[in-house]
Amino acid sequence: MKRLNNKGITTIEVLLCFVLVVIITVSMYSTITSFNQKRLMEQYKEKIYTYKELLTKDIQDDLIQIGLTHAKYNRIIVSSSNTSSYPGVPIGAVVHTVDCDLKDGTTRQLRVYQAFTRAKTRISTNTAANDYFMIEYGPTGSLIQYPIPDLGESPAFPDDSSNTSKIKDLTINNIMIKIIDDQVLSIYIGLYHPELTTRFGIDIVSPIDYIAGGASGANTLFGP
Amino acid sequence: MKKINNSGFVLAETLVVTVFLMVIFTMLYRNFYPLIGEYEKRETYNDIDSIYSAYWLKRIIEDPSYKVTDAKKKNCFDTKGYMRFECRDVSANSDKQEMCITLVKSLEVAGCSSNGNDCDIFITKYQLGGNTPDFKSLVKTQDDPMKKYQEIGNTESDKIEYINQCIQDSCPYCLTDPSSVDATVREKIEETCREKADKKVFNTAFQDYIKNLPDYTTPSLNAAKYRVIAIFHHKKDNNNYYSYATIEVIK
Repeated sequence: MKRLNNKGITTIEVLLCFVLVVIITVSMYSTITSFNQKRLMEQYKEKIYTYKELLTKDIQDDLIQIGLTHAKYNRIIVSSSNTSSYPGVPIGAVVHTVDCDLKDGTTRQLRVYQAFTRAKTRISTNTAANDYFMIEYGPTGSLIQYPIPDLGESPAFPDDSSNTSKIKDLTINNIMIKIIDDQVLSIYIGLYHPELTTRFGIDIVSPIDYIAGGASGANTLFGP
Repeated sequence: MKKINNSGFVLAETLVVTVFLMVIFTMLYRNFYPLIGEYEKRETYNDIDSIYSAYWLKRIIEDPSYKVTDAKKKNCFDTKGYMRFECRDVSANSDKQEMCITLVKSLEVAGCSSNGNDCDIFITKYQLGGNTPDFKSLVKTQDDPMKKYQEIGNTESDKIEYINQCIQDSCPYCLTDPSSVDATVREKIEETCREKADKKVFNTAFQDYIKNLPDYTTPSLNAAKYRVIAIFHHKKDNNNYYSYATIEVIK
């Protein structure tokens, strides 16, 4: 009968194998973690891109296809005296409104609501997480809401461990709306995320009352 | 009966195979990782903001108030293969020149002077490659890259003309009434313009963008004969990155 080799492996061999496995696992762990983080960020970026493209296209379509004749910008703070005009919007929120008069006689309105409770910039002394961010756009009186995408949440007051309130990670951070010399309308709505920073803001620029030859009035000055 | 070899692998054999596999995985990883960088770079190619910005530039170029002289047209399209867009080419009689200056500033077009000239907006033939002059080949030339002053000509006087034009754009009184401008400021502007004259027209990032564009050998469905390619330098909200876009011009 054949004699089996029952010697097995030595302690040194087992130890060496363990060491090898540990080295490989440790080196792979950080790589896989960073790739997983990257995957998450790409998912977030995708959501922001979809949101940004949808809103930008809706606004630019009106400005390009109908044409902008006049724009007016207004910024107000919601208070107890005017809160009834802004149902659901917390007191202290800043409301940026742009009225765009179009060539067909209609008006489109863009409204951006911004309310922070973050420790550094919170607008009241309350400790509830009532951050509020919303963008609305559409014909005046029938605005459509464009809620900003949900990209996770963090503690509202990191220094106060007794407070368990959470706030959304994606916020509307910096709003810059300018009407330059009644010639150009520039709308910048900065979206901020702790990992993605301010890179993916909404940036809309359009000339006001641009009367052009355009394609229909194209000339042939360049030659064939 | 045949004796079976049951001795298995020795430690040395196992180690050799492990090392071999690790080398292969490392090589794969090293080749795969740059693809992520490439992907991130392409996020700034023809993104929605740049495309709409390029659209408004196209509208200005298509407008009858935008005119260029025959000499400039010939020099640009027949010799170089492209023409740089400048607000000074928009008729000063209309308020569109002023609007053009405001617009290029708001769109954050790269390279523009305060009066909307010398912008990184290139008007090319619709077809970008495989024709004469070939814009794609011109952009990717590495051996002797074109310098900014060479857009006017290759001689020393062309360089001086470029520098003077640059000074004129940045500081209108520096040349006409130098005594009215502080000497330090004047020297700084002159220095900046001299440096600008020797800068490459097409940087590496732009070369990458152009390399990724198709040749557009199939004629445009809209019968467009030209194309505008623009570079935007986004600085709003503490950002600092460039994006690129191209769109056809029906003119």
